[in-house]
Amino acid sequence: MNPILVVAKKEMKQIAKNRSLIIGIVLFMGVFGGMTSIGAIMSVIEGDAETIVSALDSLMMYLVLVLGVFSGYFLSSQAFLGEKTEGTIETLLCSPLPLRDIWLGKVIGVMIPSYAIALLIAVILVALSNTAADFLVLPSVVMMVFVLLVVPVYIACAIGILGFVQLLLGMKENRIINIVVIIGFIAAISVFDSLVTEGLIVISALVVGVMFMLGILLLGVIGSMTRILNREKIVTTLP
Amino acid sequence: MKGSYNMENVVSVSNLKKTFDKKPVLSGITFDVFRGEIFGFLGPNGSGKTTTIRILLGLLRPDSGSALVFEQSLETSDKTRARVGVLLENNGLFDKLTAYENLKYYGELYGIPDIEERIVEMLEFTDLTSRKDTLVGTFSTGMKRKLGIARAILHRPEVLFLDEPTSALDPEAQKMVRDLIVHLSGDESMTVFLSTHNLDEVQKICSRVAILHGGRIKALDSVENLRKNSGVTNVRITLSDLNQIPEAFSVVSKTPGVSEFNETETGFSLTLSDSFASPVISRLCSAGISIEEVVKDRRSLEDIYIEIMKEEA
Repeated sequence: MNPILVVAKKEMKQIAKNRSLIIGIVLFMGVFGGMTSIGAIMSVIEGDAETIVSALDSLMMYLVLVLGVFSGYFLSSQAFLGEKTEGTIETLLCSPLPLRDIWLGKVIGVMIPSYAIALLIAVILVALSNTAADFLVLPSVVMMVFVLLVVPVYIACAIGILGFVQLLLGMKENRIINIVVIIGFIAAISVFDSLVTEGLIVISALVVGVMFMLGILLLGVIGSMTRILNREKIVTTLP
Repeated sequence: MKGSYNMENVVSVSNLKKTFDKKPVLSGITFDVFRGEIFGFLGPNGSGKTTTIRILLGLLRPDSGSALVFEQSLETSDKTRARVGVLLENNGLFDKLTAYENLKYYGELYGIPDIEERIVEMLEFTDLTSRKDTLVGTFSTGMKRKLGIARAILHRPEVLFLDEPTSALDPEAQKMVRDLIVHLSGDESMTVFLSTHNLDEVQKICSRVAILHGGRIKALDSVENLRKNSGVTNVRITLSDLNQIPEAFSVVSKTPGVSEFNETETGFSLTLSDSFASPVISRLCSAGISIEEVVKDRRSLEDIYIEIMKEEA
């Protein structure tokens, strides 16, 4: 097996075995996602099919993306910062794997379960809409493409940059980053919410295409940023 | 086994210097480790041991000088890193994975072809077969250390770096680890770089030793040569009449070359320069001290180590 995939597999296995982390994420997603989505769906339940699909699309656009990214944030701390605090990263750095492959393996290993959570949220939103409506409600094709292509790219971007920062910086700096991420998350939710509610962002093939290209570009930039990572920077920032 | 190594360099450290926050941690150290030997790397906390190991492993960059393994820097040579086994203070194990899963992970990382057979072999070797499917988080410190060693040698490295392998282990587990190291060096022809505080351990198993203090190498030789060349001897003297101890002390204190006099249950012990042993015994006999037995000991590595540390202090 490719060593990058070996690292990815190990990360997924560790996530799957971390019950407290999974329970925490499920609770957060359930409470936050549930409160946001049920209210939004109920408000348009009396509308026609087009109104409900449009409401579902709007809801999915930001909820699936933001909660997927936030899952990545939760899970990445174990893969990157966790290995620094436990000291296992030193042994991993002594393996024949280049540093960038270690980073990439971890990004993939965290991205897959984070994306699985995002997909689960999408399925729950569709299920909730169908529970409320008396006809079959499905998201638009463009939204499906958005969930299948754009969401995983942005989740990977978020994990990639977080992992990079967690490897590069010390514990104190990472604590500050954590606070910034949480504030950023809350801000992103409210900005997205108002943009979508006021119709300033309307999901279209063009929007999906542009977002996808931007995401790929961002992923490339983050990937090239890992060149400034080196073993000494990681080891000298161990707790 | 001690000293049965050939002279091919596995590790070469030359004029290695490293500074942290303008404070020198290594001030130009030089040494080589030869194929098949167990090399002891000694020094107190803060002497630069861990920094040296980290530079050798490519985890830190030297300010100047070189630290090569198989003539390569491990920072840049991925292929050479595959020839090296490492057991650092942390065992490199994941608590939420089982012993088997931990070994499988590292085995796949190193691309071991016969991975399943090798894992079985390593678990048997470290007597952990029955704990194969147990989460490592539930292991005792000793069991984790044993599994850490299994992990470090899983890919059959040619050189093994061990940082305090017996720390926090009970005497029985310490002996087990020591036997394991001797086995690896002897039967598996592995070169072992052993960094430790345990002087007894070094004396028992190491072919050569380097003593580090303040970022400089203070002694570098075989354990035998260090003990032989220290120029100081311990002499234990058993007296027929213990009431003669004050008188013996009075004689000894006037004799040059004696640096220490300690009362024991059967008489006293002396630390003195090699050439003064016979004159001291003669003087004691002349003074009418009734000596029953004289035992001359070579100084232990611990004595030499403490002496070096005292000189530096």
